[in-house]
Amino acid sequence: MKVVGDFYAYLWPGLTMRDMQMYGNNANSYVLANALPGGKHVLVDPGMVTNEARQNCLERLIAGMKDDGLNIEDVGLIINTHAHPDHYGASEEIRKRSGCQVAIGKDEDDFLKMMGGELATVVKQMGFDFPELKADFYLSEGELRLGQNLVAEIVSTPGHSKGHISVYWPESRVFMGGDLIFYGSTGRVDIPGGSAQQLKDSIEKVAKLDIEYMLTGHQYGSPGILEGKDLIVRNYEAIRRGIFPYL
Amino acid sequence: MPEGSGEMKNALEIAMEKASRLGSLSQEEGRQLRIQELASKGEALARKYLAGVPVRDVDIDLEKYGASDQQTIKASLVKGLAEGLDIRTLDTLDRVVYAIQHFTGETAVAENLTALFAQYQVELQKAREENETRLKELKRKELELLGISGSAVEPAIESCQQWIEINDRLTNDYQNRLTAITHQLEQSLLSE
Repeated sequence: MKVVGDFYAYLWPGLTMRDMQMYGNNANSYVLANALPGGKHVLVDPGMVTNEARQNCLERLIAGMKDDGLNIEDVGLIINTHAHPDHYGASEEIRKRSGCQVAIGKDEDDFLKMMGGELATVVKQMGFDFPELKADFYLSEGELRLGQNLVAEIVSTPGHSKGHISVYWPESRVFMGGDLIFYGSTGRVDIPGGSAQQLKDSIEKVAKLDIEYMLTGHQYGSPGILEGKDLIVRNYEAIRRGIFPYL
Repeated sequence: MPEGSGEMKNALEIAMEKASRLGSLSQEEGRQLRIQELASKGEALARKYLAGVPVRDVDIDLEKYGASDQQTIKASLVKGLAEGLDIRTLDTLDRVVYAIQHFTGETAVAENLTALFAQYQVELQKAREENETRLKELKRKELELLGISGSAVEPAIESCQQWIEINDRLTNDYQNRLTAITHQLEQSLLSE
């Protein structure tokens, strides 16, 4: 579905408990259409290929994009906000279909190497699967230029994971925050690489940005997109009061 | 069972036929068969150890055999352990080196293996440092052609074809050296 301009959202069902049980876990995906030469799209957080509820997440994303007139074969770049499988899992599958470039934060790549190396056996025994990801380039805090005139700001937002990044599009005032912040809650900090203090600091840093559309990584019982500066500011305040003291 | 009767032989009949043929084996054939059995046992023990079974349990299994048979099993056990080594990762090195030393009493081979892995890491790092700037620049240009640039972008040289080739050459060279060391050890165990 269209959010604004060339920004599209593919929200994973999770507004109700019933949805969460039926559809299982997967990240919301976002597309900036025609951002690259040759009409190629930028896809942020492709989600998984299939999830624990045996939902075909990737096919759902492809169908959603098709409804908006966008083809997965035309993805030119995938940006992963962090290295948790529910966000990056389908990256290599989409690369096979489109030949796209794949990017992630440098610290997240190190985390993935650890999960695929010395911790692989333990991680698998715990029931987690970390699909392979071969990054073409890493993203760190700074400017990302796309095509002729598009500029995104990559914001380093650790807390949920060590190398978590967010993507801010200042001209459109769109912010893609992965698992930094949700409507009424924040990303969890109990996964290896997580840090409560860093998460708080990252949220305070993002709160200084001029955001009109906050595109979050999940709909955990609340809308995945926060629209309007007032709502976004009220959300920060509610999180400071209701969540920060318990992090 | 008569030929061409169209009936299937059951498992017992097949086993009986095989057993009856064993009686007609020559002494040499019998010896070879025994070596094969012991080699299979060694491979199975290597798999068990690599899967996490402690060395003590492998010892208990080995003690069921006489000294000569143990030697044959150990040769194949060490071969199996060596096959669990991958020059690209240090994940199993300590465990395998410990076991090789334990089962063979060979400290020199264990030291050689550890040194080879360390040398590979040094060479790889050196190759990376020598090529990093050039390959990053190449990748940066490739990304620019695709319309991707900016201060946030740090090319990953692992994705460059040139780096993959350099890495493969070095890795194959060291993997061959690793195979040579372990092959030599296996042969020396068999000849004892």
